[in-house]
Parts: sequence; C-alpha cells; structure tokens
Amino acid sequence: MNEKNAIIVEDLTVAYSLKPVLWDIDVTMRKGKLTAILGPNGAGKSTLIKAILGLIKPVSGSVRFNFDHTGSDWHKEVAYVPQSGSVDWDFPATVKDVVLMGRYSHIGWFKRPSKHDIDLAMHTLDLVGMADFSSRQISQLSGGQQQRVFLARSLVQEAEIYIMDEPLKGVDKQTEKIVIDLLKSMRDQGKSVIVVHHDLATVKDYFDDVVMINVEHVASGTVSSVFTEKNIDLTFQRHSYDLLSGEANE
Amino acid sequence: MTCSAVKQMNNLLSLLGDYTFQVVAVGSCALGIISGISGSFATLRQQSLLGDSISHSALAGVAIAFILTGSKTTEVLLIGAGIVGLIATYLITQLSRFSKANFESVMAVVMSSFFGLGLMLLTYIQHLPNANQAGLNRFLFGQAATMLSTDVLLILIVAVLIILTVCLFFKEFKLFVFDRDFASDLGLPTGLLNFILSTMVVLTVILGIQSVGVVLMSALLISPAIAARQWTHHLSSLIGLAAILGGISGLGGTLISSSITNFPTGPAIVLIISLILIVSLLIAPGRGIIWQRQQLHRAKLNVAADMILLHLLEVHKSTFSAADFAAIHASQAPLYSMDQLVKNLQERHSIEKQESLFIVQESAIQELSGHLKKEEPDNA
Repeated sequence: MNEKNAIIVEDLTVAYSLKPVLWDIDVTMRKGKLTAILGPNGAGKSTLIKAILGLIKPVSGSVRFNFDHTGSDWHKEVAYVPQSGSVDWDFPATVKDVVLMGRYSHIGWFKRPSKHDIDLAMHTLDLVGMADFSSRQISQLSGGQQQRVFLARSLVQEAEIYIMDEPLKGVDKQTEKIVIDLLKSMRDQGKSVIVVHHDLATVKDYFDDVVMINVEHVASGTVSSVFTEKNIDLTFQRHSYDLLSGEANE
Repeated sequence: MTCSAVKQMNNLLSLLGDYTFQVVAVGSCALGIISGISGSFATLRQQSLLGDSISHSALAGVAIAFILTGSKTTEVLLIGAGIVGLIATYLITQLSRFSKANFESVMAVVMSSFFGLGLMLLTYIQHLPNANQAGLNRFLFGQAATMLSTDVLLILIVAVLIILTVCLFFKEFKLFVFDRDFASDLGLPTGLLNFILSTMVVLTVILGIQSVGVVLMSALLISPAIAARQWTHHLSSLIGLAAILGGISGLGGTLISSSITNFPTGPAIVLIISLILIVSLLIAPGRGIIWQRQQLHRAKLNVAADMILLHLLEVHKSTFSAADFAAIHASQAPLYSMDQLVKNLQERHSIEKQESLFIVQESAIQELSGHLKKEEPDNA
C-alpha cells in the first residue's frame, strides 16, 4: 500500500449520553510525519485517539489504517503511549519488566523473553536515558521518568504508527528534550507519530502537521498552512456552533 | 518438661500421625496455597473486597442448596454456594453500574443481605424434621475436619490447575493486571484473561469456605498477598511467597483447631496469617512501618550533622578540632549530642579522625559545596 495517509478517520461520532464528545470527525494523518492533536480541555482529543485505537466504541463512523506491511495485524503496527496516570505505580515490577511488556506480542504465548528482546529493551532504555534505572522499582520513578519508561515500552514494539496522549505534560525540561528528540528521530526513520499535545508555544518547533479539534473538526494540515491565529481562535474559543444553522453562538 | 507438656507433645505427635488429620491438613494447606495465588491477583487488581462478597453471599447458597435437594454432600452445597455467589457478584456489578449508588455501598448491601438471608435459612433448617443443621453450620467459620478425602482430592486438582495456569500465562496476567489498556492494544484477549482470573478467585473462595468459613474467607484470600508484597517487588516472588504463607497458615490453623475439640478452623488459620501480616507490615525492610521510622530518624540525624559540618567548613575550612566542633555545636544547640553527630559523620565517611584533629573528606566537601551560597539572591 503506498497511500500517503497512515490513519483515515471518517464521520466519527462518540457520545456517552446526549452530549457528543466527538462530532462527525473527518480527518487524515500523514505517514512519516509528526502530527499534533490540539484542542481545549474537553475537546475530545483523548477520546479521538482512544476511538482510533478501538478502546472506545463510536456511535458512528470508521477508522482505517494504512500500513507499509500488507496483511499486518494492526495491533502489531500501532503503538499506544497513554498518560501515565492510568496505571498503579505500586505494582511490583522493575523498569526493565515494564519495557519488556512491549515485546509480548512479538514473544507470543507461553514463551519467555529472548536475549534479543532483552537487548532491545536495554538499548531502548538507553535511548530514553533510563539505562541506569533498569532494575529500579517503578514506584520510585518521577513523573518524567515514568513517561520515558512508557515511551521505551512502546518503542520496543517496533510499530509503524505511534499514538501518544500528552507525553510532554508535566515533565521536566530534560525529559521533554529527550522525548521530542526521540520522536523526531522516529519520524525520520519513517514512523508516523501522532501526539495529543497541550502546549501551543512549542507546536511550530516540534511538529509537521496539526489536527485541531473542539468536539468537531476545526482544521488540519501542515503546521505552516493551518496553525494560524484564526484557527487557534476558532479551536480554543468558547463558541459553540448551532448545528442547524452553522452560525456561531456566544 | 512437665508431665502435661509431655502429654501435649504426645497428643500432637499422634495427631500428626493420624491419617484423617493428614488428609485434612493437606487440604487446608492446599487451600492456603491457592488463596495466596488467587489473592495476589485479586489485590493487585484492587478487587480485594469482591472475594468477601462472594463468600458472604455463598452462605445463602449453601442453605438454599440443602433446602432444594435435601443433600448435605459437599459437592451439592458448594455448587449452590458458587451459583449464589456469582449471582450476588453479578447483582453488585450491574446495580453499581446503573444506579447512582457507588460500588462499595452496593457491595456492602448485597453482601449483607445475602448473608442475612443465609443465616435466616439456617435457622429455618434447624426447625425442619430431618434437621442436622450442625452440618451446615460448619460453613460459617469453617471446619477442616469435616473434609473428606474426595473433597481434598478436588482441592488438589484445582490447585494443580491454578498453578499450571499461572505458570503458562504468567507474563500475560502480569501485563493485564498492570495495564489493561496496553494489553488490549497489544492484542491480548483481555476478556478471556479477566474471566480466568475471576474464575480463580471464585473457585478459591468456594472451596475455601469449607476450611475457613464464609465470614473469614476474605482474610485468607488477601492477607498472604499483602504480607508478601512487603517483602518483594517482583511479581513471581510475590505469588510464590503468598502461596507459602497461605499454605503455612492453612496447615498451622488446622493443627491448632484439631488439637482443641470443637474449635473451628477458620479463626485459627486467620489468626496465623494475620500475625504474619502484622509482622510484615511492621518490620519488612523498605516498606515496613518500623523501618520507615528508622529511615526518618536517620535522615534527620544526617541533615543535622551536615548542617554543622557546613558551618565548620565555612569557618575552619577542611580541618578542625573537637573544641571547634563543640563550640559550634553549642551555638547551634541541636537535638543531638556531639558524640552522635561525630559518629554519624564518621560512619558516612564525611570526616576522618587524625590524631586530635578531624579532616573533612573530599567527597563530603563536593557534596556540601552545592549548599554554599555564591551570590546573594534578590529578595523583596
């Protein structure tokens, strides 16, 4: 498959009760690019990626992937890095244990991690600057370190598409630099990296493409053409749009 | 040894040699082992109390099974217990999902209602013509001595199955319990894994109530795992240790209750595992309460010693005498004696005594120099 889009979302609507969280989203994300998903709180950014990953069932719409390897089991080619808050950090596991979990779909049932798996895990820990922490209990890590471990866990999956939920939120400067440099090199290796991002100030420096949503799709495309003052206003303003007339309410 | 002590020893030895006791002890020990294993996963999944609701509700199941079938055989009663336990769990999950009441309130209400129903039915059974409800009472606090060798065989089969399952699916269980979403993203069958783990807990509870009884079963389910957690931070060791602690409690409790007539096994088993748990909570290195207190005291002492050393560095540079130390110690008036502070600094290799003088070590100077102010910051 040689399409230039890694992910294609069509007519996606997600609603838990009467109020929709995502409404009629049509968006595509390009292959081999670093894409930011932007929007205010409650805009549905996390919901969008969870719906893409199949963790949430939409009310309507569809999500398609395009992989370079045909016939791929999509689980193997899409890696998900969630916000670190969703996990019990007192769980008895070391940093290396957690990173090795990313290899489980490669290892398969009933088998134990091989030397190659362990070497890859250690190498990846080194890439995120956590090699010295490999035997440390995960409860002893700081927020930024937890985020880096999750990143390493997803890297060892050797996936084509990476989807991350606010990986830079609340992390220290050192972690932020390590992570964004790593994401850029992943993009350079041809991976598609999609990131829910919270900091408008860094979008121009970090990302190639943006997807701007606020329950509905506002704008998407390259940062240079679409990340404009007007679009930022439209995305982050408290306007709601009258669904019937298409006019802005206040 | 006194005469009665010798008699007790003899009683004990004859007990241990008794075939019936051996069968029952093996059964309780195996129950303790599977409780440790299943309980490890239950506690890590934050589902500790679910085992409690299954076991309390099971009492009604035991009573209903007897009323409907008239049979007092273990298999029939346990099937009744299992069915009602599952119904109760289903009720709890559904009610808490669809009503405004929160999960714990729903669980408490359902559990106590079924338990109350069970007690009522037991009393009713007592008044029936073919009563011999004493047989059913054993499910309240457990009586391992009523287990037949067929019952113990069933327990051993289940134990082997559980151990095999955990060994085969260890890494999948580990990932599933740690991060369910990620497991789902990797393509693991999370529904199936959930089912297997839940079934393990249900089986453990239903079999366990023979030995421990419905009231105390949840203690045996979760205490070994919580105690084990204090001693290790590897999942494999946690499960292994929990199994061992559970097994010891099962065995020991049975020993105690068999030595005393009419003493139910449940309280005896739970007494042992509770003692183990309390000790673990107190003294385990790294997580124990006492250990943490000691660490705090140590930290305070370290800081006090460092502060004095800092003063000494600023005034006397890297060499000072005991008199210098005493002078600063007096003016700082800390809570520690000079001997304590000097000993602390020596133990940490911050200072060395050479004849009558103290030399501050390079490493300590490096560490503390970060605290020396280079410039006055702007203040309001």
